[in-house]
Amino acid sequence: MTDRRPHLLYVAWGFPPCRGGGVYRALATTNRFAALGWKVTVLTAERETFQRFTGVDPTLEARIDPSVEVVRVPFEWPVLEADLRKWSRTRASNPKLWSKWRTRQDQIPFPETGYGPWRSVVEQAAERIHAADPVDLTLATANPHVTFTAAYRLHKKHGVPYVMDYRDAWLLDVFTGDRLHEPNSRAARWERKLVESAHEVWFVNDPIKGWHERLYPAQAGRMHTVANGFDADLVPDTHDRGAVTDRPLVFGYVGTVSTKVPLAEFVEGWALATSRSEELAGARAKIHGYLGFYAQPRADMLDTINTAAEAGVSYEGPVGKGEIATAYDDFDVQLLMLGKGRCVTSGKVFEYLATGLPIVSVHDPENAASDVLRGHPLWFPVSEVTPEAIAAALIEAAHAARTADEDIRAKAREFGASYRRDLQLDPRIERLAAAVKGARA
Amino acid sequence: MSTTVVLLSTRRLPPAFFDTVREDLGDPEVTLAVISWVAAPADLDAGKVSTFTIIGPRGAGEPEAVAPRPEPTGTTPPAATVAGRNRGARKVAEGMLPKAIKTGLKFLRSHRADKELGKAFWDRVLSHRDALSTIGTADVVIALDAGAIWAGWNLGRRKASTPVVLGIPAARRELDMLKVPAGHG
Repeated sequence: MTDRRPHLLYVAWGFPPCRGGGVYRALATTNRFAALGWKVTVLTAERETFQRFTGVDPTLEARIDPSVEVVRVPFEWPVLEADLRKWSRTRASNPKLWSKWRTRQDQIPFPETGYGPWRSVVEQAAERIHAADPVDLTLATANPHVTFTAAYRLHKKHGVPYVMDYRDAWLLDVFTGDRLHEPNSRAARWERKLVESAHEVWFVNDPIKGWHERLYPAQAGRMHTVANGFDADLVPDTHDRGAVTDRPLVFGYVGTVSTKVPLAEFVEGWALATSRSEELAGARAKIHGYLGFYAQPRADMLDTINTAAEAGVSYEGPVGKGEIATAYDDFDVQLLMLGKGRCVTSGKVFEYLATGLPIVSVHDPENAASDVLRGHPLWFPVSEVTPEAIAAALIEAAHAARTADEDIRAKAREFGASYRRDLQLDPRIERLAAAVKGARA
Repeated sequence: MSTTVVLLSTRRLPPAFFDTVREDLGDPEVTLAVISWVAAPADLDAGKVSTFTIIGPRGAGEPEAVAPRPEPTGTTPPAATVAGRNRGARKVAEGMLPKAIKTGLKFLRSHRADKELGKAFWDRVLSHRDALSTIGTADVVIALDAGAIWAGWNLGRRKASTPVVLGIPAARRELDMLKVPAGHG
């Protein structure tokens, strides 16, 4: 019997077992398409690629819907080859010159450092997949942006519509808001061509979408925000824990403390808040995760935390995946400490939302995380990132943790539940299914 | 049996490097041996590495003799004066060049310096019996910087069965693979 399910070709460089932030979006997207009745083929890199370059999480592969077919193609990354036995004499005797030359060579097929040569590999693989079982829709996720070329190829040669899914942005620096490539650069010309032919273009938040709408006003109607969300089976328990009346409160942070996180301001704000509010008597602020990007905690950050040790601030060290739920179980209030970035939405915000616990936003009010949290009944943002404003938000949150009634707590959980990842995807998948069905008819 | 990792370095390693390197390699029991162009950090705890072989010009307890500054004689050696003047003139001329060219020149100089250092480092490894015998015991050899690449590459050609890699993350992958029992690859 012929398989009448619409056929989605999903093109992603990073896919399980690859370990990395974007992988969860890729995994959730393909699984959701499969759950909603699509035949899904994933075109991605070989497992060895991830073993060598990104690290792997073998448990992720088991989470792929069994009906999803994964086609793996080779990926070479010579510049990152660290095994000196595989280097040529020319490279070994001129390593810097060779790297410069190779980086330029790699960009000849496609203007993206390191990934350019993958263009012909994914284009040919997409052709093979389409020849074996015609593809109704291609969804390519970036970065790397070279994945878009496979979608473009099927569109140009066979009229297959495609969706561009940006987890980040190509021409825009999402941290600074600056432009990364000149308007007439090859990257800009490629993007213009791709966006003009795309059926839809997805972004993870409204500020990034808005920037692209202004850049491509004629295509603005095809642009959509498909926010990230939490994966229901990966988040902490969401049961109602009740108001805290009989013990000191525990505030908690989980994640990497980068240099952009306003840690010093928080520590000062904490000291002020605990000295001013009875509701914070004996309260603790537990910081879980990495201090800096290396295994060894940064000494300056550790010192900053230790200055407020007597006020109850403590560094608890990194927390493994298996222990995350336990860490959250300990919290009464969550601390969302983020760096500045109008276009940056941290994945952590969705994990926090899932718990339904009060959230204190210790970040610039302009941060894109504010757009996600606006409307949360137990959200306590700072008006500015200063110790005074942070103290005020902490005191308000402490009060809420001690007094919020069952109704408000239920509303907070309900608000968080709307950010389940599949709920973000469903409206778009339904529209795409209708478009594909229309095209088939 | 403990795994032996030999580190090749042409730069001065900070003492903190030895505090975290075992963790970064994923093996707290690993035996570390260093072959270095320059001296060990002054406060390096002897227990942190099994051997530290210095093969640079000031190495192995043979500090390079520092010549006493000659007394002023009133006459300057002509060659030194000309070279000094040329250097000064070159610097001034370079200051007027476009930025791209200056960056290119800087890159080429650094490339040439690395290349010369790399060749010299390898020559010293070959002529240093202790260094060669240390390398003979290695399960993994790590080139830690650009100056150590040429030596690492040559060692890889001499004995292809011993992994020789650039950088700690790649070494960790090699060490992880060594832990996988044969037949389970």
